[in-house]
Amino acid sequence: MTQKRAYQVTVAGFILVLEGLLFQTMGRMPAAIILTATVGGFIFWSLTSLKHPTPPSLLVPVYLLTILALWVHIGEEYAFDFGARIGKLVGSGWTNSEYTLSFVYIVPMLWILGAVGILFRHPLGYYMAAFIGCGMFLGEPTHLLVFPVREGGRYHYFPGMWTSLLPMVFGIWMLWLMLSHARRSGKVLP
Amino acid sequence: MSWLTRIRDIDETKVELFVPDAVYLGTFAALGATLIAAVYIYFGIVLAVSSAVSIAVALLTWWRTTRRNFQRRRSLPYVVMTLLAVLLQSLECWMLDLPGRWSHLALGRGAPAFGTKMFVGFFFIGPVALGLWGALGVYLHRPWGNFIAWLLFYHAGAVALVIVLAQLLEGSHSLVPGLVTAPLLVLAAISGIRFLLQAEKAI
Repeated sequence: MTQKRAYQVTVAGFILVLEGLLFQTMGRMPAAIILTATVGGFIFWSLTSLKHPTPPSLLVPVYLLTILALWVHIGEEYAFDFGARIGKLVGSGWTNSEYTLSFVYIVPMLWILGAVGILFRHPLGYYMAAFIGCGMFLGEPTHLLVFPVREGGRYHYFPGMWTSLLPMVFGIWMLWLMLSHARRSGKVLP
Repeated sequence: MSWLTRIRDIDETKVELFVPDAVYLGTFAALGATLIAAVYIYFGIVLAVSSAVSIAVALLTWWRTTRRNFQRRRSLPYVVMTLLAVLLQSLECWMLDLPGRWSHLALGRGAPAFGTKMFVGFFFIGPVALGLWGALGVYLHRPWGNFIAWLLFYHAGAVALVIVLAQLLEGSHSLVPGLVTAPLLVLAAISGIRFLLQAEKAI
């Protein structure tokens, strides 16, 4: 097995474990959004920076900017009880404590480790960038377009709404950097 | 390779963060969309549409003009004049209690009730703070400064037109707060827009 293949197997294992946990706790709809981001990130990473790693001098500043914006967004979600609201919305019974444990403590550790990974040009760091980029693109608009509408009644505030779109912009910027570098480095994508 | 050796390998050369124009556009659009959602939630459809039009037109104009030609320091007097007009209208709206009367006006029918602090914060203190930030950007020749200048001019014009429209729907039996100072806003906004467009044509 080549080293790249070994990293792909490791990431596939990570996706299986993470999704198993998420489907069991947070409910189908939010877990499906994250599943799409993990798989989308996996495909994007395999086609781009796994073969042609983006120079850290280009990617690290934008990666840090993205996780900073994401961290502010997590802060808003935490302050306004996102976990319990989502749990009620999808009928999973997800609680604020479960949300806090997973999205305020455990997952951010992986984001921060991702920055160190990219700095050392480690493939798993680049996967984290691709996963976050796809996640922002797919998941963040739901705070404005899906959750308030699904809850019913007049369009209203949903936790995380005010800070959801900025990390999406930075996430797309990050994906664009990875894609354009891979394109310049070799024939990777059309 | 040991951990310490790998740390020594980290490049220490100076790194510049280049922000592409598209990222500015995306950031302005993202913040604008969030603002429109907030205005709709707290103030209803009329003011949300007014904000949406100002933001969309400002984005479009900025993208086609001062995005590239951002040396527009001479537009600062127009920015300051518009800020003063916004403050004067805020004073009139506050003194004559526009927030308390808005949902009773024909144009504001169906809008949620909102307090003075919320209204003044969203429509006057916020735009003035943003305008001052924009003035700094215009002075320092930053692309975002010019976007804020455009947005300020369009916002001032749109708010004045909303007030005029509200008055037209009310008829002559009562004065809508903000109407007396609305011409000042229109004048400031048109002067600013005209100056920026003429500067663009001169290139």
